[in-house]
Amino acid sequence: MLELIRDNILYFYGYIVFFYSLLLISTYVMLLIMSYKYSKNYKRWTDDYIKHMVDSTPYVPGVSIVAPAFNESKTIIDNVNSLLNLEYPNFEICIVNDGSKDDTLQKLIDNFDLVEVSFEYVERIHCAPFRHLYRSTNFKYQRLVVVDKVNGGTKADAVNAGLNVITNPYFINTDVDCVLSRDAIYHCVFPALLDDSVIAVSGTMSMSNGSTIKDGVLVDVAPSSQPIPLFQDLEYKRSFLVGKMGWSYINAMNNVSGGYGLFNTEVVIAAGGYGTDSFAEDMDMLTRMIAYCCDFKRPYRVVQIPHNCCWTEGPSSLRMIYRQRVRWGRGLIQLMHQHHRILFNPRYKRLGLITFPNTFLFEFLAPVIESVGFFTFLYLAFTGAVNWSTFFVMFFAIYSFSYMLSSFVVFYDFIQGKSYTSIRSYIKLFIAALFEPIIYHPIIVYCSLVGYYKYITKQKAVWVSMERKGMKKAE
Amino acid sequence: MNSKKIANFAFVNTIVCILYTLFGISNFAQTEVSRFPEGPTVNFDGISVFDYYYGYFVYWWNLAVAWFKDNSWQVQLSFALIFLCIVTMIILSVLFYRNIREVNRFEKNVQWVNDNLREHFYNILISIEQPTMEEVEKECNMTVEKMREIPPKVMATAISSLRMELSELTVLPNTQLLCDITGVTQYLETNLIAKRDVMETLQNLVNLHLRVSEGLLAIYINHYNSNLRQMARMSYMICTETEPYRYLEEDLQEKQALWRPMMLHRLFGWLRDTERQMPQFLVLANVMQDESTASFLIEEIAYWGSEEEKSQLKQFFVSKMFKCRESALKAVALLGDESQEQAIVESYTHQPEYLRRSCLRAIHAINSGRNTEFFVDAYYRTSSKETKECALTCLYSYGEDGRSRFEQMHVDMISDQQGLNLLNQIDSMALLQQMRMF
Repeated sequence: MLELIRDNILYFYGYIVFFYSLLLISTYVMLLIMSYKYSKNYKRWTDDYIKHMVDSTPYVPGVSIVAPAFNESKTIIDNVNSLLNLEYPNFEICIVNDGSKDDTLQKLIDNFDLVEVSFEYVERIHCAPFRHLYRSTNFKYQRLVVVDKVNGGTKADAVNAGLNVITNPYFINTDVDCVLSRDAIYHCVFPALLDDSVIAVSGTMSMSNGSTIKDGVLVDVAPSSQPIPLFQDLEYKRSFLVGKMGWSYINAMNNVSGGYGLFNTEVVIAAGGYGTDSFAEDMDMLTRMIAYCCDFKRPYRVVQIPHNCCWTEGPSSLRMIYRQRVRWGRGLIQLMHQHHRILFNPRYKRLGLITFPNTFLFEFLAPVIESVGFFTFLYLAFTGAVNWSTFFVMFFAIYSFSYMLSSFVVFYDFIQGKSYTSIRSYIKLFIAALFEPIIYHPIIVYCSLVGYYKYITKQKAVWVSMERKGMKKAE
Repeated sequence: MNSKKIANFAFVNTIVCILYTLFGISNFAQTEVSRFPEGPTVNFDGISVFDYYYGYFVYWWNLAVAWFKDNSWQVQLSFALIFLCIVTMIILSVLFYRNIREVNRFEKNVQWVNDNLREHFYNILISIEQPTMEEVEKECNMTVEKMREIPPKVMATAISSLRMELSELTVLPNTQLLCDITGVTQYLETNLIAKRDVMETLQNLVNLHLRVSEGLLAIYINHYNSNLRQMARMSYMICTETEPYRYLEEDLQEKQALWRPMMLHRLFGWLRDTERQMPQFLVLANVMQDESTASFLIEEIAYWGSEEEKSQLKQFFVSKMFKCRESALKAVALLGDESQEQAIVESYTHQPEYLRRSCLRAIHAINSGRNTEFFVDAYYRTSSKETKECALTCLYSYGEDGRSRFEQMHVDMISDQQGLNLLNQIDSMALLQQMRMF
């Protein structure tokens, strides 16, 4: 009797997993098609023409770059210089010193000729107390504003402080260690110029671990030779160029990365600003922005652009990737928990009927289904119930699909405008795609599960800033 | 036969073979596996190519069916997935290789043009006199025939990027000549005829202000795609001199984001500098239903409007559409028109809070020196922090009189901490600006 029950459970479980995988593969194929269509449509406007138009008009909207800094003494000067090198006719840089314990602020003051200026601070969004505002006496750095505040413990808190200071209609949320391409602002402002219902624009991001920097500008862009950043680079490309761009085609994007994204300031403030208690503040923010637009019947669009706008240093060790992904795992389950009212709710349009169900099924449940599948497989293998030839055929089918998807993304990156300077870099990515599903993916699944567990058991989260090695510097 | 035709032929053949295969599925399953391809068959019409391919497909299909028929459908599906992935990867590899070659070749050509011709093109473009063909040949050290051997797409890219570098000059009268000589105009016209890269072509036409035959634009002027249609209509404005604004009103009636006004602004600038007749901004602004479009047209009056239109801006200060009020105030501020200052002062009390700030800025920009007390009143009467800040900022730089009143307010507000903070903020910002000058 027991054996019969076990067999039936395994039988149905097998079918569920099989159809789940088929559905997932179909979703990816659909996303591939949609992302291709979207980028084809987007690429009709040439970069030069956009830049030229923006430069020769008085109607160009102002953009603020909000970049929180916490204990970034080692790299802050290079990073701010890199931001100051950006090209756009009307922008300001707002660095938020989030109560750094090292000499980050002093370095900024000394290097950029900053002086404290009186400022009538109004707290439009709650955050840890504001201390001072600094501006430069040097004309060269007139775009720079530094906000000094008490440490709030999260990036979200620091961004909120920046939002209380800026006055431009759009702002870019980025990390101070990110290196932006010089024309990054043009690219991400353009969708908002084309359609005034655009509330957020996500730029494509890559890993900077293998690249070389000179005077705040990347001179040799190459993927890292270390496996973890390399795998992560591939993962980012898949996520931005297929996932987000595909969803963007039907206006169903669920996330604009906290590393680089342009937002409508008014909508962010109306939605209550960044959630300081969230582990995935970027996803939480966008969800609340869309929910706000749906609640108040305001048209909205969230857009992914194919241009590589930002390079960020990814975790290079297992310990760091574990920390990062556990936090993301916590963030995902927290998001599902806090915004469960959105799931299958037609009031929230595509967010409630497409994006959230998709996130729930293929992002939130995936680690659970994969790990249960893995342990079931081990059990069946030890009891001799595995049909090995069938196993290998199915394994190879999934593996070849995964490789095909990664190859497609690498090719796509090339035709979209080459993130890397040499063909060798692309070959590296093709090789990484061979090993990613069997080495990197299980680590990510494990980290997500740990994140879920820590959230469910309400373990205290400790915010630890990432250890950075910095990029190679050109002579 | 060129490669495109061969590819088309192969594609059609493949489709026909697939159709044959699909329709014959039930029969193939019963066919013997050992059936080998029979090669081209001969009938009364000669050799049938389709039968030849058909035989191959039947052979491979039967082989596959025999191999997999004992497997479950899940395994068959997995095999199908593997097969599809492998085929896709092969296609991707070919495309990747081809793309690398194409990109490299194109970049190499553009680099060559930039190294050898860019400087000469620059000289031709900025020259006041229109050179003859011989002078162009002499300047470039190259015959026109030789120039035309360079792929026109490369030439178009090089000239377009040069034009963008010279964006400060609204009119470059020799652009048309240079593009005609290098074959760029012809290339762009061919693109329009062949419906190839139409959007990019129209962008080039608008960017370079090139004139092509109006007839070539005809099919795009009423195109269903709004972006393409609007670009075509902008190009039409450049090309025609008979009735350039035939479509403008209809165009403006559509909902506008910021991008289209930005493009129109630049085009209007070019039209004015080439001494063409300008649109009737005031008339258009009055008939527009959409607030944003009407406000754009009002603001354009400040840049390209006639003197008569400029003098009538005050009628919008109490318009029903708030955006129009804001634009009119901005326009008057840009013009610094003192004759309309009183109208601003009179309209102040009828404005919502954010427009009051626009009024203050406009009065400040006019800078007649007559309204120092107006700013002080504005500060005391409002409860909005932003309006207070705006009033004080305007007062600070409103001549000597304004500055001394500002200093006086420092003394008056000794017990008002919030007011003092604002005064200090404005003071320090102004000080900072002064320090930046040195």
